[in-house]
Amino acid sequence: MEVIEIKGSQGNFLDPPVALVEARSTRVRVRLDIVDRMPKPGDFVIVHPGFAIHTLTRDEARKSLELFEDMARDV
Amino acid sequence: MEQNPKQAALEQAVQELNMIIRDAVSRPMGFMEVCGTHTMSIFRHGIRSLLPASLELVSGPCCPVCITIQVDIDAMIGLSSRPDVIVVTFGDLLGVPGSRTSLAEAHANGAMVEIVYSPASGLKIALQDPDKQVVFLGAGFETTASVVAATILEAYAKEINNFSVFSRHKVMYLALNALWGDQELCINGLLCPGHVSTIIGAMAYAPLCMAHGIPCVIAGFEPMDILMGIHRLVLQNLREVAMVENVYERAVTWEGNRNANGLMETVFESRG
Repeated sequence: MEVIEIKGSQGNFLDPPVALVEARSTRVRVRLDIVDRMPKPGDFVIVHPGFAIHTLTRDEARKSLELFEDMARDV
Repeated sequence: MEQNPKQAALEQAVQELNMIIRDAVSRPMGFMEVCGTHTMSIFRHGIRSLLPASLELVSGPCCPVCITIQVDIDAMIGLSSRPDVIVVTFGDLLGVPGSRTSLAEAHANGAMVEIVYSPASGLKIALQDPDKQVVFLGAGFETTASVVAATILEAYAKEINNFSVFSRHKVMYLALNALWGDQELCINGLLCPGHVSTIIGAMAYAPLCMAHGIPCVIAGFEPMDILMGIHRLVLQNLREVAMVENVYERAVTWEGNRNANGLMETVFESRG
């Protein structure tokens, strides 16, 4: 899901970090407490029960989306 | 109607990869897809029908519901029967039968059971109802455990004292290692889970791979990911090697998510 905006910072459990994320025109808020790398707006995150668990840059996400095309050429 | 070129390329890739797997499997092989999400994807996309009859896929233990034993379900139902407790859970535990009833039946009979998408929602319920003890039912592996760890740390920081967790989380390595105590198990490779591996890292499977000589391949959840994973397992078997391979590199690193593992170490201790 693409990160639209971020509030808060990691490690502050009084004001936990939250991102507004979007996928296919649906926007939800997800927590960033356990994500491996704090994302920036425009990055993408993999989400598991309301928490982002992994951050991808836009380029990494694009590579993922293009992976299948690459596989199609390789096999 | 004209077919999307990307879709056509993907379909072609799936067909060709399937042919490679069919050609490669010259003797019976059995692989375990460890993760319930893999199992669902395999059925949803008809992957079993694409594979040769000599290649068997066995569903593994990485389903939070399947690995929660009945006595724990009974304990959860018992908690829900207390008038001073609100039980908070993911929806998938609701219909699981205990020895006599289920959380769904308990809820129908008046028990306070709230279904949430995220354990953090349990904290909101605790703040709204300070006279009740809100108990989150913790089931699942490291992916869920790390989310619950962050929620517990938030409850501690905010001094929300009427929130607690009934932790029945499992450690992936220990669950898989326990399988090898089963003499009847005949598995030639593990298709290792995607999201759990995002947290624990590919290296978590190395001890299992080395101790039991079992090929381990981490794969994502798309049909192409799964077929690529199966293909690698076939190749390891044909070459008679056992190693940890990662075909889900866009989400899984060798070390895993250090932040999430640090939070789990702060909150939980393993009783393995």
